[in-house]
Amino acid sequence: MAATAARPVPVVLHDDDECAEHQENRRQDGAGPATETGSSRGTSRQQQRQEQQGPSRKRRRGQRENSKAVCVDLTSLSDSDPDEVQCILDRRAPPRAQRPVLASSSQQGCLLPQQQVNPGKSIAASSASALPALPPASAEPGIKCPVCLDPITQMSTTHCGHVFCMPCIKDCIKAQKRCPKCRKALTMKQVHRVFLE
Amino acid sequence: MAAHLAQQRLKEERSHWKKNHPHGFVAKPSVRKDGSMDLMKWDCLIPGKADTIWEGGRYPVTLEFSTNYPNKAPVARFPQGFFHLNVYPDGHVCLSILNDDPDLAGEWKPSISIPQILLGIQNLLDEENAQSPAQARAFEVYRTSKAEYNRLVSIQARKYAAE
Repeated sequence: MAATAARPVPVVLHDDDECAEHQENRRQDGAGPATETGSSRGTSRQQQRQEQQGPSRKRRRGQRENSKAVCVDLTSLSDSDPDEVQCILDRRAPPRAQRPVLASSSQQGCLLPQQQVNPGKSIAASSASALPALPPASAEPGIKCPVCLDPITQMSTTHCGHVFCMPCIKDCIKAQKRCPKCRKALTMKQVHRVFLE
Repeated sequence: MAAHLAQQRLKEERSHWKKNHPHGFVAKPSVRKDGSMDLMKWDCLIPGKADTIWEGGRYPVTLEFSTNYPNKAPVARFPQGFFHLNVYPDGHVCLSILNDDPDLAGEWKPSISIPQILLGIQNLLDEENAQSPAQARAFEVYRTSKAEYNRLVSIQARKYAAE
């Protein structure tokens, strides 16, 4: 299950790696004094690589056909002339606008099988991530002032760390000069507002 | 402002009590002669703790709130002549958490709720404080004979069980 799901990712990444390698090859070739010898060396290397990576290339082609019609055209060219494919791949890599599209389509391609194979797990994971998110959102306005027992308005805190409505703590300090929760001696200077947002 | 705060707090206390309160306890705002509800005075019943000489009785207590509540402690009263070492002859309960005078070791704080007050009074029934007697009659009996004190308490428990 994991192997089939993971398969598309390494292949697509391999594309990018390959492209990077080709770019390096090009630079090395370009650095050479004679362009003709450089290009001939490049093609021979590319042909060798082509032979080594034959099976993986076929696999990739199959995916391309599945995912995008545009890709089918490119691979069909490779059948006719392997060298051209190398050039096309090189050109495909640099445009930054296309890359995110490719990456996202490949991710979807590898995520979908997982969801199909094990839908219960993915649902459980999504519900588990949704459930803990709910209580904090609903609990925050639920904080009650220990003086008026209502949801706190103008949240304020004291030196001793207890939280009240500002009008409530003002009244309490006027009357008792103590914290309504722990009876620690307090003045208004030791009370300040709290802003959660 | 203060009066408004007291009313608001007592409304909240009432809704909290309706949602959840200690088993066997009763607490509700008293009803005026015209049938309206008086939030500033509550009629309560406190059951005697199990396995104590107070068991079986349901003792009536009134809680009187001032307009400065919750900054001022409410006054808790048993019926006049209630027999307990820490209850004044007029029924006024002498309890640290209901005393808001810091000079007299008052421990009232505005965050104490009505269930906490009533549970505190229930504890006081069996755990009388001989250091601060409030009525001469109970204190005399208590000092001379603890057994006699207990006997009078048991008689009182039967009296309030019948009611």
